[in-house]
Amino acid sequence: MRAALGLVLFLAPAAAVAQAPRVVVSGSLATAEHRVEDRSVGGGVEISAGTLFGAGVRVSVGSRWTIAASGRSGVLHPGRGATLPRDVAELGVDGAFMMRQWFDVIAGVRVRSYTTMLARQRWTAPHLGAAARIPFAVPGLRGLLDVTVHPFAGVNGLARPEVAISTGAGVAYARGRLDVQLGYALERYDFARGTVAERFEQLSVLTLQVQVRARGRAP
Amino acid sequence: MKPRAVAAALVALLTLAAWLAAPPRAAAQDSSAVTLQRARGYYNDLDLERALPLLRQVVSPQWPYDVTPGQRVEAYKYLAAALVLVGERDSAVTYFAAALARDPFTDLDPQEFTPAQRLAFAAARPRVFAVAARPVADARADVRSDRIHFVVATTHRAALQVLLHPMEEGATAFPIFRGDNEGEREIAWDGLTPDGRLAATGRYALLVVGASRLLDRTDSARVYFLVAREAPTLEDTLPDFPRSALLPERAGSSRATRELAKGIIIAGGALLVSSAVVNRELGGGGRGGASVVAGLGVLAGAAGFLTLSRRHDIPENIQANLQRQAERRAANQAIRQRNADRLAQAVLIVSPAAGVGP
Repeated sequence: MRAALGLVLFLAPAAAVAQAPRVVVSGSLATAEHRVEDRSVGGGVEISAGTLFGAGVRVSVGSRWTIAASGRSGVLHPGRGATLPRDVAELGVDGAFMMRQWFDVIAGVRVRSYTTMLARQRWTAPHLGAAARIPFAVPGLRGLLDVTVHPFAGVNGLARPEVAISTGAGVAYARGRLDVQLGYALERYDFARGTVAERFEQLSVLTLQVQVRARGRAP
Repeated sequence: MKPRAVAAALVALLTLAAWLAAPPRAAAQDSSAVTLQRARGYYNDLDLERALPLLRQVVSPQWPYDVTPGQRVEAYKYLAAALVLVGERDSAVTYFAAALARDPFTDLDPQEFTPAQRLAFAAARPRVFAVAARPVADARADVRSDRIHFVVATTHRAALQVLLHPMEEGATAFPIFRGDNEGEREIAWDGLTPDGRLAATGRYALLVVGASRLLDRTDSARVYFLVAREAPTLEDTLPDFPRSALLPERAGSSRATRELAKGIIIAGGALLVSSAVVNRELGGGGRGGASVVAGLGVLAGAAGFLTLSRRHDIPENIQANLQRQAERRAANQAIRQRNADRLAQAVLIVSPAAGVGP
């Protein structure tokens, strides 16, 4: 093991060795609302809502690359038109490349499952998008905007969605090692539009996330 | 034949005869040169009986062709040299003196002339007094290291004064040589006036004034020349920074307004997501959450606006501006130094000018 670590350090570029990666861990609390309408069933819009808890880790490699892994879980309780609670579990891996000080290109994959006592539906959604940071004159305060598309999203039992998009906006404030973000995000998926099997899904989430820089200098 | 035709024929013949009899001007100097060449040929072959008449013809007032001063001096010199060889030393001295009077630079090459001839030439020197200066040659001189050379001559020992006279109104002549001289002398000029200034550009006269130490005679000569300065190419210094090129050193309301715009962008983004992206078939979309984020965005913009509305110094911009100004000053200092070096090179260009003097 030590030999392997030594080999990695030997082969790694000097700059990469010299610049220690910055590690940020995070925890999140989100209130989510899920809406779905399956026209083939004709049951109308099912609404369920609940709270999601999440955690993640983000590692900055070099001055431009960032890799993040995150997960969240919770229960969406049935509301109008829905009958069963849904357990939601999600894991995601993202990579980001900082093209400008204020602009990142992001890519990754997210795996999510909705589980009821009757069935489980699994989602796999590779995504590609962009994120912008808008700094304000108040030190540490910044705005966040992002948009991603999921062109190859797959849901078991369903064809690929024709529309699969996620967008978000938020405000973040950093002070010392702490970074607090409040973000709003909306995911929209349209399946088989214009057919009898038409199905729409939408997930809107308001997330409060706290990040702590565990290692490395502030960006 | 009719009388009118006879008269016309006579006029034509007379005109032709006059044209044939008149020596062509273009050939005049050639005739003198050819005759001198033939005379020198006879002289070199020691055929003095043929050389002497030819040389006497060239210097004779009856010689019908033009004779240049140089040809006349040469004729006198070889005539005198030939007379020495035939034993007429007194006449030879007289002709040598005539040559010297016309050209004080006249000299006898020891390789070509005998000691007796040179003795006769030396005897002629005290008899006549004249000074001369050679025409100024083209020259380019860096006055820090080079000199401009003039060549003057006196026929024998004399008190000599060589002056430069700027030909502009009110300028006075200044000496570049004072002292005794005998024969030819090269005088070097450093390109400066007596007060140490670089000579001004313009037309100058080189005045040579001599007073014989042997005879109660004085003589003078002058030649003209032009002085110009080689103009160096100078660099322009960097201009002052325009206001737009410097960073703002104090935060002001203009940037504060931008903060408000940022807040509106965030708020607009959140509201846009919750309205335009939402599937209208499903409705909802968590508008409440979007409104919270939008409100926070507006608050962030307002906070930024208030932060920048208070006018305050921006230390990093002040430092950056100071550094840019310092770099500009250093660059300008280097440019001024290079320009000063170029100006100090002070290269004078001297060229001959029209005009001669006695």
